Amino acid sequence: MLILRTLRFGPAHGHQIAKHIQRTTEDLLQVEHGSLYPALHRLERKGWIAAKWEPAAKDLKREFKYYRLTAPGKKQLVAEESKWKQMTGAIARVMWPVEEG
Amino acid sequence: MSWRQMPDRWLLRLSRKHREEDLERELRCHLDTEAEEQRETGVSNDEARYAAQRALGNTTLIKEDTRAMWEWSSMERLWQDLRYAARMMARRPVFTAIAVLSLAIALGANTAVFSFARAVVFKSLPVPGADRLVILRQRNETFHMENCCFPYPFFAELRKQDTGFEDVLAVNPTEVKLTDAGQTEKLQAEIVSGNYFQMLGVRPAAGRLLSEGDEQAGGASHVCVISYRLWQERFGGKPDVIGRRVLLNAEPFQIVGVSEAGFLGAALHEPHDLQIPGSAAAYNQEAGDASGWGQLVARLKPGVSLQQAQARLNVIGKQVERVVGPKMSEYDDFLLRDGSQGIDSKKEQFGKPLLLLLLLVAVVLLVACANLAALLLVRSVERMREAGMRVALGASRPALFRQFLVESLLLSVTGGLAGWLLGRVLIQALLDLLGPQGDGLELQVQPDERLFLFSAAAALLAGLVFGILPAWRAAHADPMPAVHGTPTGSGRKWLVSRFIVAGQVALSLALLFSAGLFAQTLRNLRAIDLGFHPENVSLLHIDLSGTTYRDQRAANYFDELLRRARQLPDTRAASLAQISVLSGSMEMITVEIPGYVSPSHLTPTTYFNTISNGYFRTLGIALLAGRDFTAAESNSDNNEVAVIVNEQFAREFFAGDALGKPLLYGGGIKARVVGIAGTAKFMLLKEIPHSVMYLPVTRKNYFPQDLFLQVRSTGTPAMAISELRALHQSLDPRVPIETVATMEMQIDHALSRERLLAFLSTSLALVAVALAAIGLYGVLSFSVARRMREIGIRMAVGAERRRILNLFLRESTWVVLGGIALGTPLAFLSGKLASSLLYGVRPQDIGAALLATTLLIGVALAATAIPAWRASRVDPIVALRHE
Repeated sequence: MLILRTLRFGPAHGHQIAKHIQRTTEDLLQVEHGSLYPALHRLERKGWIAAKWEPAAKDLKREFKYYRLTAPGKKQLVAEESKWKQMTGAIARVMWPVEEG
Repeated sequence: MSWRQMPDRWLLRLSRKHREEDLERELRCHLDTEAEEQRETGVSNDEARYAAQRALGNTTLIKEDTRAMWEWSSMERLWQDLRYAARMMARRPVFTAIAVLSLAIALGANTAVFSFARAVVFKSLPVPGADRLVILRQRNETFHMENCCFPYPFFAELRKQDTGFEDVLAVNPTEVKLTDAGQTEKLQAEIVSGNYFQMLGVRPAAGRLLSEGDEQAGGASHVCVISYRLWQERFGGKPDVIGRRVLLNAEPFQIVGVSEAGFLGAALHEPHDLQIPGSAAAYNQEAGDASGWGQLVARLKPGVSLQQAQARLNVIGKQVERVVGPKMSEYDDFLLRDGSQGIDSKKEQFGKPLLLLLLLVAVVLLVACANLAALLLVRSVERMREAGMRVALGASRPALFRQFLVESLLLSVTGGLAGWLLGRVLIQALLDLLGPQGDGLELQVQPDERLFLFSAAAALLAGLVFGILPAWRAAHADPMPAVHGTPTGSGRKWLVSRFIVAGQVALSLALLFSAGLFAQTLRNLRAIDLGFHPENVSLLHIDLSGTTYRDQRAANYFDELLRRARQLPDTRAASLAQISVLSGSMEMITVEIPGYVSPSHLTPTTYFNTISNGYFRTLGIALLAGRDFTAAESNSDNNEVAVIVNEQFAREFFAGDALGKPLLYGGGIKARVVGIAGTAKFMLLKEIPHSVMYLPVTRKNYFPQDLFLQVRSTGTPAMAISELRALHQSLDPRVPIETVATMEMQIDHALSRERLLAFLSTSLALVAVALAAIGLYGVLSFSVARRMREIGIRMAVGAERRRILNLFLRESTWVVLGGIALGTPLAFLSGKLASSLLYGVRPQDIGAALLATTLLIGVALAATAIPAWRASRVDPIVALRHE
């Protein structure tokens, strides 16, 4: 879900995605960069993201494999987001019932 | 699937190797970028590299994990399955050979017969709206036939009337000699009305086509249109052909245009390469010619049915006939025939036998499929262990299903390819078998992409038919027995393959039965009492109409030919005749007999033949009373013609007492009967005895240009034929020979359809029986192998060998009996379908049924005996150690 969310901002290659997740979670989620790739390939197989080798924006001589969100991927993201919200909400209610009441 | 979103790369994705490289590159990219970033923070090159590697983690492990995420693409899986299937095929060469060969035979036969059925039954003229074309015919009660041709005034007048037709064209096929640049060749041409091309909707490929103006111009125009094919083959497709002057039958003509590619005249089954405008003038020249001017093809107005148009034509057509002729009786109704294939369609003659053959070859294919299904089922049980083991190791059932199906499909595709090649050979063989009757079809039966599609579809379908059941069986393999290593299968699982074999036996029986019927038909036709003796008679057909021999010169030519033929040392008798018996042609003439009252309103008619003396002796027809013609009689000025009639004629018109009696024929020519000959077959083998009147050939002022020289000799047929050729050469080699053959060859030719059917149905039936035998053998052999242990135990406790033998014989007896019970109604049904093609044999002929059954049981016994005998020879010790 995190990967999908990252790709909402536009196409990115593996390294950018890793960095982005690291930055936005303030290094809390120290994912080994390597574990990103099996995940990316799985998402690609499911058709939620698509990949293409393209020259980098800064340095045209270098090519990166850019991933981008597909239409079914966007749908999936929305569905997972709402599921996640429900779940965190539920957990929150269990953990801190007093604050609510 | 991701590759669908990336069509530009899906091809590359097919290869796993490429994906590996892709991943490698992606990871390297990552490392490089990370290292760069690290360097920017000021670390050394090497350290940056290590840091990057640390951040990424274990590369090999990542690769491993990522690979697990990949799915095998369907193409890759197919490739894998195909390779596996090919290995399986190579490992069982005998099974593979039987499978591929039987499929190739069945599919090849289907392809070939379908190509003929398509050409004869399903194709139509390559013109727009061919389904609305109809052919005009008129019943002619006097001569018990249908008039095909109409005179020009009738055609011209009919077009002016308000009929159910958009337009009507006239066409008259003919043969012309085209001379261009000193080279002459014979071509099939059509003399057509001016509206011909416009009515058919044919466009020019170059120049212009014919118009009404060409028809009006009459013989003066001397123009013609050639086909695209002729343009390419004879004139090299050069544009200068327009306006080119050529000779047609030695007269100058100008080519004004080329018709569009693919159009070869108004007869689908007789290609014509040249169209010449016909005209009223041409008709006038031949006025009095009873054959008329041309065949009429009409196009129905949209929304008008054939029946409506026919009813309307019967009113208007008869009105027109009363004004301009021809003179017909009021009972002679007009008929409209399907014209979608144009004139001279072979559908009527060959359509039905071809559809029947198509059915037969489809049944053979079914038998071949059933055979393979049975063998594959047997094998799939054999391979149950393999399948079960794979299920136990985690293979998905769909994957197993797919893999077994791919194996079957690979077999069927290989068989299909071989069948396609065989089919091409068979098409040529069928054309050769058909002989001259197949000439016009040659172009239409050539293999093309559509035929290939049919062939491929048939192969794939066959693969599915025989492959699905074994694949399904494999996919539902039970892993337990496979892992435990116990023998598989209970008796019930075997029922399916036994049923299939029984089905094969049933279909083979039906095929054998119909083959028997056709063979019997052929034998009956051969055994017909001809009324003459064709052995040792050979004939030479000469047509002088294209040469300079006319009238008296033609008479002299034939006189000389006959004289020399009689002088040959081997000759026992020789004669001339205008019609060769059993060639399928005949001529009819009206007769008036004093004192004879026709039972119907019709004028009595008879077949007639114009002959020289010696005719009866040559053919071996008995002269029952009176005398033969004399040479002098032919030239006599006597105003009463001497005629000889056959016994049937005498019985029909004179109550048997004809000798010396007068009669009139042909509308008033006086004649007297001088002899009575035995009744012999005249036009067709199947005809009922028909009256025939013989006229002497040489009469004053008129001599036919088209005659058969018939010679009875003591030499062999080959010798007789070469002698006839030499005879023709010695007289005038420039005169063309139409045919030279023995009488028996000609009768065989008349039987070509029956011969073809008998030959093909017998071959097909034998193939089917062979397949059924293979199926039976295969299923039983496996049954023996499977029950080895049981046999061993039985023998160990004292069963005799004979009992074991009986056990298996009984097993196959049930299968065969079941098949025969199933096949008998099928056989009778096939007989019923074929009934109109039979002669002298009932569609439910018991003899043929018994013969087919006996033959089948014999073959089945042989196929059973080997495995059963093998079972009875089993050594109990070996059998029990077998597992």
